[in-house]
Amino acid sequence: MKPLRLRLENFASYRGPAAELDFGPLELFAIAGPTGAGKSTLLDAIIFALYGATPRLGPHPAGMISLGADRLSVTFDFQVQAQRYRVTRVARRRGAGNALLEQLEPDDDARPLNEGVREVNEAVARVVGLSYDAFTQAVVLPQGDFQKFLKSEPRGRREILSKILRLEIYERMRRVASGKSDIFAQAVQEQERRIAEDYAEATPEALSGLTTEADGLSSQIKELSERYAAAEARRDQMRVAREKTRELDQRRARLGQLQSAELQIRLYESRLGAARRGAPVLPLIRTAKTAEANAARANQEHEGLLKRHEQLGADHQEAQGRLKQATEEAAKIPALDERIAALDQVIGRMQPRPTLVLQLTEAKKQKLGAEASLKETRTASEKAEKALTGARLELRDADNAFAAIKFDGALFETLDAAREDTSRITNLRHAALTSAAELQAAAARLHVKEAARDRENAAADVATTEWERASHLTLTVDQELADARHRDAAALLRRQLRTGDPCPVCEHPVADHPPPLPTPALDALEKRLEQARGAEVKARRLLDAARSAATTAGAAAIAEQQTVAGASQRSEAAAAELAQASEALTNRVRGLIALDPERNIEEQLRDHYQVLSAERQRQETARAKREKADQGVRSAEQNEANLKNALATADHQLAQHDEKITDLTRQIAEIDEAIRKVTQAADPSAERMDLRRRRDNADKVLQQQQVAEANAARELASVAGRVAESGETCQRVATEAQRARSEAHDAAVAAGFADEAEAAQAEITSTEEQRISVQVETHRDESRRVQARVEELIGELNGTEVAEDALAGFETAAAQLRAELSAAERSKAELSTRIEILTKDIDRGNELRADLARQRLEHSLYRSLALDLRSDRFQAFLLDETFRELVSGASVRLWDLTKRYRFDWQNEAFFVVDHDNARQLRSADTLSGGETFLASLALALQLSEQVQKAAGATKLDSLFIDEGFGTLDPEALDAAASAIESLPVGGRMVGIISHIEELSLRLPARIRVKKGTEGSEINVEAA
Amino acid sequence: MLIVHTSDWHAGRLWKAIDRLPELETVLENLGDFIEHERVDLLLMSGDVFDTRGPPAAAERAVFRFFRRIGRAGTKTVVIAGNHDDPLRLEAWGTLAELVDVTTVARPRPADRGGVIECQARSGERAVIAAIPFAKTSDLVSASEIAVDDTTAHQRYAEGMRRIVELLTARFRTDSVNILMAHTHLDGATLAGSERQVHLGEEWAATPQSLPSTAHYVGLGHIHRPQQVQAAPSPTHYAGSPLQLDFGEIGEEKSFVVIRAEAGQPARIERVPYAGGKPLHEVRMTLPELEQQAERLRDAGWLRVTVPLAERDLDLNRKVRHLLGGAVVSVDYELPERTDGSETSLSRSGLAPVELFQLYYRTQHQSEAEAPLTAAFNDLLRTAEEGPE
Repeated sequence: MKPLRLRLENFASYRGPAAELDFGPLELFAIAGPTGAGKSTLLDAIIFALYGATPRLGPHPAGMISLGADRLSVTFDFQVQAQRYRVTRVARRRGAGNALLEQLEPDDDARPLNEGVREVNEAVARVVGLSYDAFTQAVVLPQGDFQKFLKSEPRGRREILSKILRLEIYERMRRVASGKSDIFAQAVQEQERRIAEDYAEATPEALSGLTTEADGLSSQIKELSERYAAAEARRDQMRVAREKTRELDQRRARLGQLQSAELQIRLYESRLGAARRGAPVLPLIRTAKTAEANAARANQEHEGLLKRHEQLGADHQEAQGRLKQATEEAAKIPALDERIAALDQVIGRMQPRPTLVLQLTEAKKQKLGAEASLKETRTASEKAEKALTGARLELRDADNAFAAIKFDGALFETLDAAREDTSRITNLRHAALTSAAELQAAAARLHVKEAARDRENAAADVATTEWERASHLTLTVDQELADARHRDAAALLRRQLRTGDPCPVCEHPVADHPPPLPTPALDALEKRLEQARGAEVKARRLLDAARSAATTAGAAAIAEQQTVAGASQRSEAAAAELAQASEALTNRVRGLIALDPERNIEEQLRDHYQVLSAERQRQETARAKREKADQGVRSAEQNEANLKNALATADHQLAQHDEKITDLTRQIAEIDEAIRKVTQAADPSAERMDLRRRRDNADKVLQQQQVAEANAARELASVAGRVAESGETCQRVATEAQRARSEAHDAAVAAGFADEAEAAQAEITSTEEQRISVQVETHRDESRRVQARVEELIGELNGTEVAEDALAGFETAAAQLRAELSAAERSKAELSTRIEILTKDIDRGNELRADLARQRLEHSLYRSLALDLRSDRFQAFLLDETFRELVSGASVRLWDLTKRYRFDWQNEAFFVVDHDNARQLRSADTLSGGETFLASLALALQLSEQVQKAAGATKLDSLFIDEGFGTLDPEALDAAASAIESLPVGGRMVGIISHIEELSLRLPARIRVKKGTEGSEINVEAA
Repeated sequence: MLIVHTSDWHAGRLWKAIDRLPELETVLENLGDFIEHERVDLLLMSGDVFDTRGPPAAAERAVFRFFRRIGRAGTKTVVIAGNHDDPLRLEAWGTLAELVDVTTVARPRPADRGGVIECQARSGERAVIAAIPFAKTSDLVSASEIAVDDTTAHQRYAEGMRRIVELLTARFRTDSVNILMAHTHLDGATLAGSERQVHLGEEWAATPQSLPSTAHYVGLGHIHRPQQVQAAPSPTHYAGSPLQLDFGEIGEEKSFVVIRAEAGQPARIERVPYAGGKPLHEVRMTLPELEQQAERLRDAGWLRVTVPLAERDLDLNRKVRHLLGGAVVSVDYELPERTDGSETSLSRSGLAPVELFQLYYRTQHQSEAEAPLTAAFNDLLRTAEEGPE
């Protein structure tokens, strides 16, 4: 199973629009991102897509739906071997979900395979080749479950291994083997029966009987063959003789026919003779005819030439006339040449004229321009003169204005320098004023406070007097009360008596209580004393309050006095400083300016300074103005000088232009005069050209006519020669023709003909001649050959000619013997067939027996295989071996990772051997987090690689490792990272989930997962 | 000009749960003394300053203190990133380290953008330093090339390194001391065993032929074993690590390289041993022997103890550690070799089912499975695979 593509919608933290992940280019990669970003969720989604459940959430899809969504959907494309599949699952919060498994064709068309959650679950397990449990322990090593394989029960491990190793295929093989064993057992039985029934008689003995019979027949056939051969020979002799007899009869008949054709042949022979005699005459006749034709042609040619000669004579005369005319014309040429020379001279003089005219025009134009500019310059010059006068006036005014301004620079400097002091004095004055004001305020406050103090003191005095009076009253009343008490002692004593108590006076017990005596004065006094005491306390309280107020007011007054003293000191100091500064400043400016002792010095200075500043400003302005005016004068002078110069130059130029114009006009007039002397023509050039053309033409015509006349004369002479020649030829040819004719006649007579016409008649064509001579020859030849053959045959037969009847007897005898022989041979063939069949049957029987033996062997083979393939034999062996190798391989890996631990196993349980601690055996359960991780990793990697290598087993094309890295110390982390980094990827996809940047950066590619605002986001970061 | 070349400090390395930082601190202290005393002009640090991308603070402090010390003493330093260093981090602290004349190069750069460094000695002599920090495989070879063919990819990697070297060393000058620094594995170098594999396999290496012949000195990092690369055209050294980092390096004398170079003259090169690292020892002794020598062994360094035993002793670990204390890193024992053949590990990885069956048959029946049997087995397998579930 190799992941290709994952698409999530509302799956846990992947909320909202579909997130897509393309595994295509990834091989070894990290799934990186902070904790909780949704890294493990990607694995959950893959497992859920395949199996409808996840290790973290179990088979409860509702728990995987994002918050706020009602349904989730996951689409996962994956590949098993070369085939691609797509599984899609949808789950809802309420109601059933659905699932669909499709097969992807090469063109990405999807062909549905299964639908429905249960069907798809089963189909996926079949396609992937792993159950949910095996998948989650061998392919995806999820969070927390990473060490499950390491720590799970032996039985569970066994199951996982057997599923991964596909042991069920061996079980299937066993069933097939057992079935085959049964089939072979049946076959053996069947074969035995067949051999017993069908091949019992096919024995070697039967075969030998048949062979003897065949030998007898063979000798009989031999004897018949010999007899038949003799009869045949005789019959053949008779056939030859009979043939010759028949030929002899035929030849004799043919000889008769040939003799009767002899007359016709002789006629042919005489005709051939005449033709042969006439043959030499024939060429002579032909020669004579040719010569006669030649003579006629020569005559005709001669006539033609005569006519041509006459024509050429006329032509020549005409040419002579034309030549004469041309010669006359040519005689005028010298006159023309003279005239041309004269014109040439004029034209030479004319050449500079157009240039001169142009120059004249230009010069006139320039003169006009110069005049205009002169005028302009003059105007400007006048203007400049005026400007100069103005500027000079301005300068004088400015000078006057500047001189008018009185400004005492030294005073200004001094005042400017004193400005700082001025502002300091201002500040000092301000400070002095402020402190004086403060002093005044403090004195006022002191005054108020002193008044308050005096007031309080007076009040205190009054209160004292009051209290003294109250106190005195109390003393007086008290005295009166004492006197009264004395007076009323008995009454007082009586008040204290109690019945039974001893009497304070007589010490006798009081028998009975006398009634109290009335003491009205005493009571009144007592009341008065109480009142007086109350008044005294009140007065005292008032006195205390007044005294306290007086003390407070006194203290306030003292404090204020201090304030006043301070303020007074400050004020004096400020005044002193001010006075000092003022005096210093006054000294500085004394004698420079008039000072009003009544006014503040700084104000006076400030005023003076302002006045001076204004003056200075004015002076500056005046100076600037003067400078500007000065500059104006200078520039106006410069300007005027420049313009005067320009005027002189322009005058000079104008004179030059005039001179040039006069000169040019004169030159042109001279040229015109020279021309007029030679020609009146408007254009002497054109005239010259015309003259030249006429002269050249006359010359050319003369030459042409001379050539034409010469040609005509030459042609005439040539034709005259040819006319004489052709007359001679005519005569010669006629003579030749006469001679040839007489030669032909003579030859014909000599050959035995009457004349040459007869000789010509005897001629026959060569074809005819050939045909006749062949006919004659053939006839002679055949006659000769037939005669010879007849004589030969008579000799050969030697009188024994055989008739047809005699031959028939011999034929019959031979045919009879032949029939007898055939019958014997047929019997022999029948016997051979029987022998053949019997031989084959014997072989087949033998084959069947061999077959039987083989089937028996197969039977035992499959029986033993079925036995060996049982789950407690080969399968158990495989599991055992796999496990043993798993442990030893994982042990090597663990050692490479840690350089400390190896694996060992006892009774199918894992142990870790600690080589740094004297090979302490530690059960997998007692390892630390980091060690457990490394051990699990070693085991998982080994398992995954072993399964990968194991032939016939489910291919684990991918491996995902989730987490476990967080628990590692740096050293263990480095070990794990190095292990993962150097994993032999080999076409397998390995994904590591980690939030540790250090690890993910060490892998070639990363899938970055982060928590966005909407939900988790995926980003692939390839190598 | 006097130059010192050091490398592969791996500050902050944890080794078998032992913190090696105190040793490294001593080493750096002594190296600092040397540099100050000899008035060294230039220090080359060719990568793997720290062991991890996020080193412990103590390791950073030790390293930075060293740089501050020699920087104040007037020595200039060039540091390149190794495969253990985090380039971003190196760049980060490098910006501040400039204050004490430390120039850092975190990733391969063009010559005019930091790939070539020029500096001046106290005497005014100039040095040109071409610096090539560690380059990831993926920087030089594309993933698809790796996938297609190892050999091609390997050549591409070596070719990439060669071109970088060529580009940078083109800046060498005849009036300067010319130096190349790189953090890479070089074909033919001898590994110590404690190096982390740089790439997807050690065949990913640059070739000595790609190094320049115009350099006074080529200073390399990554390999922990100090050595000269003889096949290179210029004097080329791996400075190696200052500490023996793992038992594979037992007996190695760790040293740094001291180079005296002048423009236009061949450099004079010598090696000076580092001082301050604890040596690693492999101790193979019986218990009585250990007892006898315990005193000496306790202070000898880090120990891996292997005890020959006649039979297993379950208390061995405790006994040894009791005798030797904290110096012990590992305790293991050896038993007399047994020859009962129990270790006949059959490697059945990658075997075909029929071969597995033959193995089984041999074990089960003590005889070979004959041809007809194996043929029948194959037939069955085919039938079973093709047949329905």
